[in-house]
Amino acid sequence: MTVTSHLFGLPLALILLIAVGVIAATGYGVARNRALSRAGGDARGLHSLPRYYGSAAAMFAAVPALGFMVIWLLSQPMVVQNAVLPLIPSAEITDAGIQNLIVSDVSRVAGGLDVAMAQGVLDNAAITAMADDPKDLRDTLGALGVAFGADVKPYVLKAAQASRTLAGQGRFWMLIVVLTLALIGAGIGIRLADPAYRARNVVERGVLVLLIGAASLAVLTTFGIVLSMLFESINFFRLHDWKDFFLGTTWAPNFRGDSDLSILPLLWGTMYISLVALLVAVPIGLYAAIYLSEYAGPKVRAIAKPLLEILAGIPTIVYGLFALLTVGPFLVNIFGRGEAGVLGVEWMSGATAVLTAGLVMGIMLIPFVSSLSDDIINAVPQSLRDGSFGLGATHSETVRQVVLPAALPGIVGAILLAASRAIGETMIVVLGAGAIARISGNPFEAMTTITTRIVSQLTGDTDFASPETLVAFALGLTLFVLTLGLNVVALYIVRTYREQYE
Amino acid sequence: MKQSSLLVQDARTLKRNRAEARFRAYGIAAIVISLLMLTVLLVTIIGRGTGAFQQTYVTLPVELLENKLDKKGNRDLADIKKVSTFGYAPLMADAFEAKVVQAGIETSLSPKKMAAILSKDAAAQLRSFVVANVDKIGETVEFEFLTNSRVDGYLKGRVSRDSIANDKNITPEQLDLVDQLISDGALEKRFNFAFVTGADASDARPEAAGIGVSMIGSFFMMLVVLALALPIGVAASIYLEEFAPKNWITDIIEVNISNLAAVPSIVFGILGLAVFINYMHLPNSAPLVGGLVLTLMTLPTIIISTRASLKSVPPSIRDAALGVGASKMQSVFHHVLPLAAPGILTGTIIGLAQALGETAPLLLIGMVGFIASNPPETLAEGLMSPNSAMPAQIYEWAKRADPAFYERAWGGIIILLLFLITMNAIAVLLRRRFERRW
Amino acid sequence: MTTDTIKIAARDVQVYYGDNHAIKDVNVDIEDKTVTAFIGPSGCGKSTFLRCINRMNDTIDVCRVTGDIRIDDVDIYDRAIDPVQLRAKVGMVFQKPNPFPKSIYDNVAYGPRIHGLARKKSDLDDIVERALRRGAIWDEVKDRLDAPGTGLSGGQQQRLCIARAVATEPEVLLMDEPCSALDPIATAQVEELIDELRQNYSVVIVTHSMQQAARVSQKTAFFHLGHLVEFGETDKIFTSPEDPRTESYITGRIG
Repeated sequence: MTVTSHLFGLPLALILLIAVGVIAATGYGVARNRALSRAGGDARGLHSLPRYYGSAAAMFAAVPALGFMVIWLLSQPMVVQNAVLPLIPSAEITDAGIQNLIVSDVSRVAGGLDVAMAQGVLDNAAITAMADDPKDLRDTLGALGVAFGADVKPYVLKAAQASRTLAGQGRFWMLIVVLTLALIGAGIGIRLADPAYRARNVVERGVLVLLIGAASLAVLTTFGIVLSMLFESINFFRLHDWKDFFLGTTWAPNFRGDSDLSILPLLWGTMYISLVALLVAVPIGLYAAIYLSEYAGPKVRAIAKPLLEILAGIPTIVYGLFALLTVGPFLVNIFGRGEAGVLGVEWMSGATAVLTAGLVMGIMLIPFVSSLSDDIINAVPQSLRDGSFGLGATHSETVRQVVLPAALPGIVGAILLAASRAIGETMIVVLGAGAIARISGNPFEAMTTITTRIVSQLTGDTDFASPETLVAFALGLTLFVLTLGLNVVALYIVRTYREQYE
Repeated sequence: MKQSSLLVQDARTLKRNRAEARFRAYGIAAIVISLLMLTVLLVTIIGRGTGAFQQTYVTLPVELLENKLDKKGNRDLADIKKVSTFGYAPLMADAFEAKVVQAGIETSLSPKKMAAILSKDAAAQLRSFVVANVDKIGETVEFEFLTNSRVDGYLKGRVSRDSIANDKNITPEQLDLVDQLISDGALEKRFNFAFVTGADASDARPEAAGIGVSMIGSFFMMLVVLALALPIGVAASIYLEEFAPKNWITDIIEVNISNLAAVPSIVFGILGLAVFINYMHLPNSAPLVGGLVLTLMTLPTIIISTRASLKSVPPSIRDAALGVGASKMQSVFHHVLPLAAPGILTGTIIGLAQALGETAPLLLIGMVGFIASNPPETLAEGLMSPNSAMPAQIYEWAKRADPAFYERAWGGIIILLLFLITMNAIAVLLRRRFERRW
Repeated sequence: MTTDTIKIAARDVQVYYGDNHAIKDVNVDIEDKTVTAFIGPSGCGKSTFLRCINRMNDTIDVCRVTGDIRIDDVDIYDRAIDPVQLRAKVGMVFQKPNPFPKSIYDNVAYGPRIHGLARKKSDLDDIVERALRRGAIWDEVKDRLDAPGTGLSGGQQQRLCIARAVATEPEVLLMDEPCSALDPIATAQVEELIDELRQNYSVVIVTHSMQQAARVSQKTAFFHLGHLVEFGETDKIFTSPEDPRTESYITGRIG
């Protein structure tokens, strides 16, 4: 028996969800009434409120069934993949990297065939007909948006068909098991509905498990991030020399293959732009925070602080556009060549440059630095300021020699967080920094960053079998490790700092 | 020991006071610079974006000639549909010729050149009218057509006679015609509803591009974020704040959440691409996927603010509930949660606003480009069929070569900012209205 | 007692915190080389008045001072007076020990440095040593001058703060409940120190403890609800107070 992924035009999972919901609702009603009637219709004779008996039954029906369904849906692709592996001629598998690529081709063909069948472009007979020579398949599937780098090989089609059959069978069994589990669960819940049964405690324990599940989603997300990038990065390093990636000096992707894919020029661009941004944001943000927390009266503070926070709430795409269309041309007007340049220095030839992106990113980070520093400066106890004033120090001496040194760890933490923001920022650099990878000290030149390359390697036609696409995951992983390191250190510093004055 | 009189400031004190004044001036300068930047940014957005809310239209009576549109004369829809938009071009040329004669305009332009001031959208507009109103064939109907983006730019001051010297899309003679049509009252700028409601358009038709459909894409994403991030975020916060024992597992979760809040958004895009699209085979460019990615991204923010609201409910409330025999769970759900609700809501709205403006992860899951030309009709279609989102649409326009699209991008930013301002204002009002001091 | 031994003279001093009238019509003459104690129940304004003497209240936005306070016959609220210079002359020690998060040496050297009291490093070393000796803490810290001041015990911290205050060679030393955060042994050490400081300075001390006032001061002022109720020789105040409110306070019926 096989079942297609959609029934009556609805995804199978949704139908199952509804079916389980109906069973659970029925279980709720029956269990609630049974408990009530066994207590002689008087709710006071029950251990828990009647609705808890119903809830317990609904919980027994829904939770194991849906949990099973989720696990099944998540693991089925992996199981199917392993099952069709023997269908691939072992002569084709020269190393593990190639094997992964073939497997991903198989799953993409299978997915494409599903789409084609659903849209009526192909039917089973047509697929069988091209089993030995599936040359046309590439075009057919390409028209549906499933692009391939090369013609589909017969064994790939065979494996794809096998995986579709297996997946169909898998869905059938899932359907049976899920519904059975739901029914058994509901039955148990109804049978247990007895006045002495501690329904509330059971339901509450269930809710608690649910809460724990929600809380662990954060950990799960981190795992998801790390694993998803790790696997594809490993694939990348199978196809591309790791030494070239980490130590090479040229970034020149070439979709015909044989590319230079080194992170150093990108890392240089990232660091350079972040540095410019911090040079703008840290002094301005810090002085703004000092002024607001130490000097400004309540009225100025009440106006200036929310205004600064507006800068923080503006989406980065706006800053990107601002860089590309306003700040970039403005800088060209000043430093540009020929008649355009006011200074006549001919330093800048295009609107996209390190300086453009850095300046705008700096503006974006000002409120970030200032609000973090503001918190930190406010946490410095007033008694220290009094001590300094009492000795006859001026306000600025107090700030520079007592408040700032006391707040230093916290401020360092804030700057590290700002740096991590700058390194991970995407839209401003995509629009404002340019696309040329180079290691140069000239801030008027266009350079490119890790994030812009991730975007450009992963948008448009992507082929997950080529190092040019997969490199994005290695870049992403590097970016993640880099920012994670900064964040962990920064958060640790800030936390220890706060505890010192609590 | 110095014994200077207090009334005379010695040189050192004067120097110190000058340093003090300087330091203070730096602070003021920092504030002034920041606020100046904000002003420049806002002035730029408004100055360059308001143009998108106006568009140039020509009012033109067009005779729907039977011999061009329905040669057989039997009003058979199938036959009429066979006439492509190219077949409609002569009608508009004729209409211009008639218009010029009627208004007494002198021009050396051929009728075809005159019609070229119209948008490439105009023929399609005419055709869809005819297909919908077959009975009007043979009559003269008055239409309002979009002009092309050069003419529109001429009226808005973006295009001048000097700037078109090397422009193949428009000639000075055509601009003469435009001037005369303006004085005739047939050509004018008007409020541009199509920008707020319409879909993106291809590279050659910037005048027809609108942000409406991507706004719907954003709406469906926000729906997903709200439906997932709020319950999951609240559940996670309740556990961490009310039930979690203090041990290393809880510590790991907490460190994790604060770190996730600082992970670059593009990393969430990579996660979405790898997990939701490549592994789970959810459709590319679907708002559902965008919503899932943004949910994961917003969760830490919502958890952090929800925990702060829960923490601000005094323990005496919990004790009171426990004191009358409620279970821990009941005390939390019946008493603590309702009291924390305004704070939770405020945090959620701010998280949603953050998600609404996020672009980078959407680029990786394919929600960018000229994707959807029609608004989705059902919930399922809205969630599953390819669409863009407001910030991604703005990005798409910013990348195109024609400056007419830049005006669209700035205009889109105005709309995006209006949404964000509204959301933040609601959050502020909620906070003011329900702020409670224990 | 002659007028030239009067160090601080206050006439009709009023202090307002916003709308709150915290100090009302205070007139007092504080003598040189004497310890004067301000006593009174919580919130009576004794600390507020103390903070007027070196214009520490200037750092509070809503605070307003009127009237006339003269030190050596100079009006310290005169427009020409720089509070920074004033505070170098009128040192202050606070309720809670507040060493800066710096080394012991830098804590003490901070004042001399900002006021430019030392030309050479060796001068500064001398000033620091002298101040620490006067603060009666030199022997305890002379081997670890580079250690952070925050690492000392509470009593040591407070003596460090006193050393820090005397390092700038003030003429008046204001002490705002300097022993309230200390244990009895540390308190005794600080009290002994105050008595020694009397040789060189005019010391004004705010205290909660009447025993302490009786032990360390020669003059005592009793504040109540913003008024200076009674001022005179310490012995007299504690043995035969004139005002019934003073009597109620020292016999424990109010406060």
